[in-house]
Amino acid sequence: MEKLITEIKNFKNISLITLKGNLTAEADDPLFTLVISVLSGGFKRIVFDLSKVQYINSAGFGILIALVDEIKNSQGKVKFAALSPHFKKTAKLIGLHRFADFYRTVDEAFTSLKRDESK
Amino acid sequence: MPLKLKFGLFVSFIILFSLLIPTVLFLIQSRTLFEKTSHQRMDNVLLQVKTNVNLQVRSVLQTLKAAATSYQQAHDMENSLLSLQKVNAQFKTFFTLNKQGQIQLLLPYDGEMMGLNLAGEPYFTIPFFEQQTHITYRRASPIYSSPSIMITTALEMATREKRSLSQRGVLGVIIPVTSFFQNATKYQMSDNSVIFVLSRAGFIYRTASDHSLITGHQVLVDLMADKRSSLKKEFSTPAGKSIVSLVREPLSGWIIGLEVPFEDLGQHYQSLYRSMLPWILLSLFIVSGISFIFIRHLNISIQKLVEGGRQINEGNLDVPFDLPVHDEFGLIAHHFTAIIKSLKKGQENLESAYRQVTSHQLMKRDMSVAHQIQQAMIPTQYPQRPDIEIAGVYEPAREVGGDVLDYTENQDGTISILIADVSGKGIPAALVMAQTKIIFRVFASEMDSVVDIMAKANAYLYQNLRKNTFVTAIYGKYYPDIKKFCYCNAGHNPAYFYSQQRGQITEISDEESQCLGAWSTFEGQELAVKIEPGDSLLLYTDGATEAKNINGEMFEEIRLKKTFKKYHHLAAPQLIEKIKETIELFIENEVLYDDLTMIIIKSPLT
Repeated sequence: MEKLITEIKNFKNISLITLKGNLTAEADDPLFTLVISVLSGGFKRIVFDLSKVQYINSAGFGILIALVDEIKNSQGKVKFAALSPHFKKTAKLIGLHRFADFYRTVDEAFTSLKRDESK
Repeated sequence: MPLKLKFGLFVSFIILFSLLIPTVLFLIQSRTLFEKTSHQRMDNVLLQVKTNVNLQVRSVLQTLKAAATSYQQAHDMENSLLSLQKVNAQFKTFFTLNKQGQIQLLLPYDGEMMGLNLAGEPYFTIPFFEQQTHITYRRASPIYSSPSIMITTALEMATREKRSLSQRGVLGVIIPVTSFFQNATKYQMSDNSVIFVLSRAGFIYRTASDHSLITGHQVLVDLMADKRSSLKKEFSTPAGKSIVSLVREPLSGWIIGLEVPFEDLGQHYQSLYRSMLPWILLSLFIVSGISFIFIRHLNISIQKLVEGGRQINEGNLDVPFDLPVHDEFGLIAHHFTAIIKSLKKGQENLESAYRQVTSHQLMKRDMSVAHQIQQAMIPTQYPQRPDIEIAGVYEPAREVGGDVLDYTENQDGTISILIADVSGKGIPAALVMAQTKIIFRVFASEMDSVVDIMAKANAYLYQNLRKNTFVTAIYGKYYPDIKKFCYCNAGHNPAYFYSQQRGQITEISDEESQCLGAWSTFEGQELAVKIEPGDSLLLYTDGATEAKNINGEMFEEIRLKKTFKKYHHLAAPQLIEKIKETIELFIENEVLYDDLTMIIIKSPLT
């Protein structure tokens, strides 16, 4: 199974984390370590670009749920962008959409964050 | 024989041979050399004695000749006698000078008479003197009686008759031959060697009183009969074996001899040997000591190696080989240590591999037991009722699964049904699966509302699950009196409902559902489906829709619906089996990626 690759780009106070590959249980520790380091680096607003994620299993959704909790507990905000319709359906099914925002594109996620800031 | 003993003996033999052979050869050579040297020494002694005698005789003869010449030319008897008296004083001789001017050496006994004739030629013959003199003497015999005593007797007789001889106008001196050998003793080769003179008259004069070693007189005479100037020969006498060397003095015609017992010759050799013996013993001691230290060192090294080998053989790989690396044994120990390290590493690897294999076997056994336990938790039989058909299937992707399938026939005639999917796989998911099944049974016994039961289960799971674990579930109750299945969907796949009346499948979604265990609060709603005769409700986990074939193509919801519709007419057990077969045909030989769990609630046609 293809492992998950992560890329980080920091824009002002927003950190863009791009995930590539399969989001499964193996990604648990590295992804958490990464997000915690981003949060401790002062970036409280995080956008996950999921456009290059090929597969998410139930454990992968469990990781996303836990990440949302972690970021919110750190007084941060998280936006998910470009999740494929298939997995978006699953996300909606398990209720993740009720606790995190999903956007069609990264730009929309950024715009939403900026709009939240201006409020 | 132990190796160390063999080696020690070998080294000892090598050392002994390397030491003894040269020593023996040296002694043999030294003996030969000594014998050669002894002969040379004998020759030297004889030469020195001969030279000494020759000089003395020459001196006497010159004096006599001068005296004779003086008398013959000047008839000065007085001066001539003075000259002769000088000789007499020096040599204790007794010369006479007759009226014809002839010097006559009177030797009344066995001694030689030395004289000159008128021509000045020396003569030494006894017959001459016996004829010319009128000395009466007793001839002594035998020849081996002491000559010195004889000579003394002769001198006394000569002295006694001197006057009468002078009165007859005959002057003379007597020179005992022993006078010429007064200093001969200083040339002695050894304590028992003898220097002697054999006179022309056949008398023997010798330096030692002990004559036992002197060989037979006649033998010596015979030896010199061939007129050779020198001769050396071995003799066996009653006293022992000896060697006699003879040389002829030309002026006097005397034969000068030296007799040396063989023992004396050997004395020097034995002395040499005795002087060498301590050094040989010391060398042997030193060599033996070095050999002992060397063999002891070898023995210690070999013992350490043997002991180390024994301990290795007994399985002790921590044995130290503390031999310094300055010889071959040290190198062997060094290589041994390297081999032991490799063995130890290999043993550790083997033990690690064994532990892994054992661990794997234990895990496999545990998984097998877990599988059996889990299978016991999965329904194998379903209610056999005329009003409702229920049938399920549970195929874990691994040894144990994370799906939940359960039903309960309640006392009021209702049937509780639970289908759930735990996130993740393997043992962790299986443990959560067991918990989920139990808590639903517990909470279902406490309350009626499916939403309340869901909320209670969510609260429990939220507190007890790991942060990234959640459960999706459909829990409901079938009420036979109203033919309704009332349920709550907690983030689970929507149920498929086949309506006999409409002849189509409806997907019953709940937009507001959420999974269990992820969030502290739960918001859900109760859904109700009326199941008329011929209608059926399919509940499933995503293992059914996400089953993949070899091309990575998923079975998808559409195929599931299609299959469900195709076989809707079958009774619930056959229907669920057909759906399962269709999925298995689709994935062919591919293994299930996720647990495959389905349950059908069907109202049979009357």
